[in-house]
Amino acid sequence: MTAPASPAATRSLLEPYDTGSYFDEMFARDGAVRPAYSKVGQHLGRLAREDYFKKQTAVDVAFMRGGVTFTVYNDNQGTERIFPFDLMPRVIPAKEWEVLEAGLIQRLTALNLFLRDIYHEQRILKEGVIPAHYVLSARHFRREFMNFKVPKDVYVHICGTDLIRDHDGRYLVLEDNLRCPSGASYMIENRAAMKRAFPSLYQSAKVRPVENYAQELLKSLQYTTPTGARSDSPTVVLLTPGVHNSAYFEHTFLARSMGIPIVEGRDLIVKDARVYMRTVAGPVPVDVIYRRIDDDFLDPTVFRSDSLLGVPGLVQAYRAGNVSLANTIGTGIADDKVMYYFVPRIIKFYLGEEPILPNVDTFLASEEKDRTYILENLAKLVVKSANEAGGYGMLMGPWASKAEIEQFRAMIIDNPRNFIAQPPISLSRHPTWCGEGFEGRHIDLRPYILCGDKITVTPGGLTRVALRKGSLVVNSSQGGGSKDTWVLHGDE
Amino acid sequence: MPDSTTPSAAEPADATGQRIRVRHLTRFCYNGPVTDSFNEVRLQPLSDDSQSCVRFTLNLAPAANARTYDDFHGNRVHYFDVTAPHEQLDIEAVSLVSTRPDRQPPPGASFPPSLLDDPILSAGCFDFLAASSYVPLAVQLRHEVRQVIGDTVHDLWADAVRLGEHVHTTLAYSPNATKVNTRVVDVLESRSGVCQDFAHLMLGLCRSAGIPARYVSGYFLNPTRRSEEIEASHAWVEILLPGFGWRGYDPTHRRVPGTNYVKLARGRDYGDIRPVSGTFRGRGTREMIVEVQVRAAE
Repeated sequence: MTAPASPAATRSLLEPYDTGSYFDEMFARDGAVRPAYSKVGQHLGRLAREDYFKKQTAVDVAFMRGGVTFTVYNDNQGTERIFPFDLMPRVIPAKEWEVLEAGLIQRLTALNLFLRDIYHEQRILKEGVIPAHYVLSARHFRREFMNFKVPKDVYVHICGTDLIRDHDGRYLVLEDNLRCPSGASYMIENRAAMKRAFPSLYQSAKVRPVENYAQELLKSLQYTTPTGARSDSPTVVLLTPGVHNSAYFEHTFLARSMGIPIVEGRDLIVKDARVYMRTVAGPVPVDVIYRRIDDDFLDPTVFRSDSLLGVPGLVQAYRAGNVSLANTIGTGIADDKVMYYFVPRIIKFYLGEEPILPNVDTFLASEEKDRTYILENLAKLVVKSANEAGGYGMLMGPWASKAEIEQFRAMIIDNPRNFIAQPPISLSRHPTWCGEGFEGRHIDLRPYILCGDKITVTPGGLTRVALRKGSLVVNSSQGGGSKDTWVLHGDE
Repeated sequence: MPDSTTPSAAEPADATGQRIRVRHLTRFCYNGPVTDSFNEVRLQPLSDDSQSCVRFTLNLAPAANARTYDDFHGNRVHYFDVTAPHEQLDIEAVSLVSTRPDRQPPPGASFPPSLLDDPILSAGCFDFLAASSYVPLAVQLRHEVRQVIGDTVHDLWADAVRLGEHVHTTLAYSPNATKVNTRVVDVLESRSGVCQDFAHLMLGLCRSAGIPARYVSGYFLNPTRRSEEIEASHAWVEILLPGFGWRGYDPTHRRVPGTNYVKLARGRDYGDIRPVSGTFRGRGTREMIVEVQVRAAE
C-alpha cells in the first residue's frame, strides 16, 4: 500500500511510503498511522526535508565527537566506526510493553533457575526434560563450577534478549544473550541524541525514561556483594579486555555512568584469595567485578593459559567467596542455540507456566528426523551454529549460493550437535531515513534485563535496523544501525 | 606428575582391609625467584564404600593458606596461592587411609548393556562414554574393540575385563616411552607406556564399545617391594555396572584392585585429576622432584 497523499500543500516527509507486504511498525495494513505513532507521525510529517537533514547531521557529528563507536573485526578499512543512527524512533505502546516485560521477566527467572539446577542437582536432566547429552556436550558448560554457590543465587545479572516481530506483528524471542550482552550504552546515547534533536516532540510523546539504567545496573551489581566483603560500601569495578575490544566505548561509558573504576587484567592482583586493585595509594580490595571478558580469558590458571587479558587467581578468589562476578561463570550454556530450543520446556519445568513470549520454530540437527528435514530444505532455512553470535557462522538458505549451502551441508553432517535451523522470519519493518526519504527497513529489539533483588526490564532497549535494502541482518558488525526505542506511558 | 610402579604380580590376601600411610611430595625448583603462584592440588584420598581417609595433612613451603572445594567428580581439591617471591615450592601430602574389601556383585549377576537405557543413568554416565581430551574416540579404537569382543557387548563387566586383558597383553610396560601429555592415539602407535597409558587405552576401548568407564588415580601398597624399586602414583579404571555401581580394573596388572589400593581422585581422564596444577610468573621450572612412599600403617 502507499500512504494516502496528504491534502495539505506541503507533502509530508513520510510520503510516499511503501509498506510492501511486511508488518510495518508505524502503518497498519490500511495505511493508517498506528495510534502509538500519532505524535511522531504528526511531528516528523510536518518537518521540512532540510530541517530533518540538519538534525540528522548534528546527531552524527555529536556521535563522532562523543566517540560513540564500535569496532569491526576482520575489516581492513579503519576498524572503528560510529554506529549509524536513524532519527525516526521506534515506538512501543504501554499495552504491548506490559506483555514484553512479563515475558522477559518470566524467561530470565526460568533461565536463572535452569543455571542453578544445571550446576547443582540437575533435576531437569534426571527427569528427562532435556536429554543430558545436550548439556554435558555444550561448549560453555563449566564442569569446574559444579556445586559452586554463586552469591545470592544470581547467575545472570545482565541479559540482553533479542526480540523480533513476524509477518503478523507477533513478538518472538530470537536469542538470549547471557554472557556479556553489549549495546546498553547505545540505548542511553540514542536517547540523549533524540532529546536534543526533538525536545518538544519528546516532551509531548510521554516516553518512559531509560537514563537510570546505569544506576539500576550498579544496584544489581552491589546486591550480589559476597558475604566475605569487608565493608558496607562495596568496591565495584568494570573489567575490560582493553581498548582493542569492539565494545570498549561501552565499557568506558558504563563505568563512567556508574562512577566505578574501569580496569584491565593487569590492574588487578590476587593475594590469599582476595582481589585487589592497584592504585597509587596502594592495593584496594575489590568486591564485585562487572566483567566484560569471556569466561575463557578470565583466569589463565583455570581457563586458557595463553590469555594475557585476565587475572591469575581470580577464580580462586571467586571460589573462596571473596568476590562476585557479573555475569557468573558458565552462563554461556544457556546461550547455546540448542538450549534455546528447550527454553519453552525450561519455563514449564521450573515455573509451571506457558511461555508468554514464543520462540521461533527451531529444528535440531542432532535429532535424526529434524536433521533429515534440514538437509532436504537447506535452501529454505536459516542455519545457525550453536555457539556463534553477532551474525557469524550462519547460513541464510534462500539467499545463499549453492557452494555455501553445500559447505553447510558438510558441516552439519560432520557435527550435527553444533547446528540448528529455523524458517526465515519476515521481520517487521520500520520507516527509516534512506538518503532521499523514508523507506521500510527490517528491525529487531534488544531490551536489557537486570537481575538483583528482583528482575527489572529497562523500558526501551536497542532497536537495531538492517540499513541495506532487503537485508535481514541487523548486527552492528554487519551493516546494521540503530534507533531510539520509545516505550510510552500510555498507548498513543 | 605421576609415573607408574613397575608391574608386579603379588596379590595380598585381604579379607579384612588394611591401614595404609601415604606420603607424596612434589618439589618445584625454579630458575630464580617466581611470584604469583596459583595452584590446585588433588592429593587427598577419597572416602567411599571401600576406603576412608582417616587423616590428611597438606604441608606447604612457603607456607600458604589452603582452601578446599569438591569438584565435578567429587574429588577434594585444595587450592592456594604463594604471591611473594620464592625459588622453591614444596607440596607434601601425608594421608592415612583405611581400606575395606570391595563389595562383590552377587554370583551369577549379569550386566547387559540394555541396563544403560535410563534417563537418570544417562545423565550420570555421559561423561564416561564420550570422548575426552586424553581419550579421543579414534576410529582405530572401534576396530580394535571389534577384534577383541566382536560387534556387540553382551555383558558390561565381562567385556570390559576382556578389553582390559587385551590392553595388558598388547602393551609393553615402558617408563620412558611416553610423557604425561601422551594421548591415547599415540599409545595405539607406540604400544607401550606407563599405567596412565594403560588406563587411557582401556578407557578408549571401553567407551568405543559403549561401556561407561572412568579414570582413577591413586597408589598401591606393594608388600613385595624391593628396596631399590621406585614408588610412584598409580592409575587404573572403573567400569559402571548399573544397579551395582563402579567396579575397578587395573589393566597394568591385569587384576581387580584389592585392599592394597588407595584411590586418590577420579574423572574422565588424567586431565580431570592432575595431582598438582597451577601457574606462576617467573622464568620457568628447573627441576621437579616427586617422591611417593606407600607403607602399611601399624
